[in-house]
Amino acid sequence: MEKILNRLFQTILILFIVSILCFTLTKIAPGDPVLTYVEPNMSEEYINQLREDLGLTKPIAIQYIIWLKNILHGNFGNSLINNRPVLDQILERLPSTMLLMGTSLLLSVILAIPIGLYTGKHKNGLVDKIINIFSYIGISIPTFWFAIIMIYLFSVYLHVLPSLGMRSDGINTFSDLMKHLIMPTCVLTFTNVSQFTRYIRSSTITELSSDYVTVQRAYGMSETGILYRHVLKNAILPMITVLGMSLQGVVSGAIITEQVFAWPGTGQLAVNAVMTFDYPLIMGITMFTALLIVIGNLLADILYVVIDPRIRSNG
Amino acid sequence: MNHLLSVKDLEVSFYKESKEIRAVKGVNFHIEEGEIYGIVGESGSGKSVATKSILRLGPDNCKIKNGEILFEGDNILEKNNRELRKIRGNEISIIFQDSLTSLNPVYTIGDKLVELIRRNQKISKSDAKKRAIELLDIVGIADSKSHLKSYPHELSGGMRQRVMIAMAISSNPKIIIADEPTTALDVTIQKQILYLLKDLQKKLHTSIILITHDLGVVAQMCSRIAVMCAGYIVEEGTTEDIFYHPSHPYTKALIASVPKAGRTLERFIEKTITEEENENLCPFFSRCSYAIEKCRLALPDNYLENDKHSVRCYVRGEKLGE
Repeated sequence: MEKILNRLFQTILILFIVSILCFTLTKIAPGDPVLTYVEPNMSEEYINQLREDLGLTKPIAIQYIIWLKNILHGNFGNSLINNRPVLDQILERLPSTMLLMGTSLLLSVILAIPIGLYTGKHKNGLVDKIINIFSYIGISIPTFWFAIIMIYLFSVYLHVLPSLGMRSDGINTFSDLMKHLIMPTCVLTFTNVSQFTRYIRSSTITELSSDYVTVQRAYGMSETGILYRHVLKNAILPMITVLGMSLQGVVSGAIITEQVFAWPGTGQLAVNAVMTFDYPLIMGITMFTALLIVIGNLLADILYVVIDPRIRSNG
Repeated sequence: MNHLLSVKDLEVSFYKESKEIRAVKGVNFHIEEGEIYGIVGESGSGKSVATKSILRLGPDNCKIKNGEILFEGDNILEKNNRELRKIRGNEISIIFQDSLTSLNPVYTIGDKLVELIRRNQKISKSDAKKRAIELLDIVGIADSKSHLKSYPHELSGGMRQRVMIAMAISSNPKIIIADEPTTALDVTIQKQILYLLKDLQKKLHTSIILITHDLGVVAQMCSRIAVMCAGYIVEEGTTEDIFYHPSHPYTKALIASVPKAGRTLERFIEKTITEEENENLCPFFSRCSYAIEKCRLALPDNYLENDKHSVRCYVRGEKLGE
């Protein structure tokens, strides 16, 4: 219990530090937020008035405290561009991002575990070599390039899949949504599976060479039994950390992939915010992402304790 | 002729980057029902590889090249995987040296025992649990019921080794292979574990193959002993023969190397010979102080000192001088 409280305290501390960094970095970034409001016929006086209204004339420390206080009250401020609350904007983008990222993360795990186990078991076999090549491709090619190739192939050339957005205009069916989901999910899943497979493969190889595997073999357990009952549970342990890190993506979205496919998610929102220097929105998204990374790590730690008895008693 | 287990002309090699490393170079021995047979030798002498080969448990890069392993008349090397699994853990079980890594860290002792019992005997989960508690009682684990819920890292080394023994006896096997079962334990616990093994061997009337480099252990435990050196059995005989009438210079050297107060240990002086020569000569030749000209030419055959005592040496027995 004390450990968990300790960990929670750490989490809060980290978030506090992140908030300071996030605030100051956005503040010292080049660009003047007021300029987004400025129109050619505005007077100098009016612009200064605007600056004061936005609280930009106060000392930076005071600005920070006001901002932090608002955040703690759930108020992330209003967008400079459309004057709508930041939190509302993030929340309305969430479902589409969660759909895309959740699907691809789930698919990645479901695919990576059997592939990783198989290639680890049959290391240096033909299948392993082929999967290896694909993994390297998946890890090394840039997602935007892969996304463009997919769009070219399936939308431009074969005309089977829509290239942009989440829904076709005026059509609100499930199958239409699925059609739009296929390509971005494929792009994200391919990259994820490539990485996850490498992790699981290497831990499978390590686990298979451990003594308890020989013991199980010596006691007549079948090779598949050893793999699924004994190796699997040990081999996926390192995946918990990886998943904890990936969790934030489910909410913060995939910036590049969402942009290329014009997927209306939080990733795209973040890109737009940066392009227009909508700093309350930038800070809001950053804080939101930081929060989720920290929560993801916390969950991973808790999950470790649940799964690995060794950590339970002495970690 | 009807031995419980007999190993004939066993040859095992490891392959590393297409280079062959011969670990066992033609080994013959047999086990009678209800006896404790000791195999001693220094590290790398092939004793562990030879016995693991009985259950075909070598790693992937290890290959049994030649030989026969007859268990109750059937050749284990010719069995398919399904038949082999029936023997493993059921008829012949094995205890390993390092009990911490031998038990899967994420499962409890009870999980493992119940799983193992249910694989060999088709009984209900609760019956298997009862049997698991009974087994832990037999191997002397106090408070056996609550220890079913323990994880391997929560037990001491001695207790873990007792759990391994419980696993080994769970199906009343005919042979237990104990591969250095006490090497990782401290001396007092070693003694307890050895007594336990000997006690169980008498009660259950199983045979034990005891592999160790500790001569004191074999002297206490075994009825017959094989001495291995560099992939060969260089001498085999009853415990009395081996300890009171050692015939091979290597055996003599081993016995002389048991540390005793007030005695300085002798050091071997190595002769330099090529690797190729080493392959085809007596494995002890390079270190033997009794070597004669003949030893440089060919590997000696087995000579019988008496009907139970054989030795692979040209200069043997009394000729060595005491």
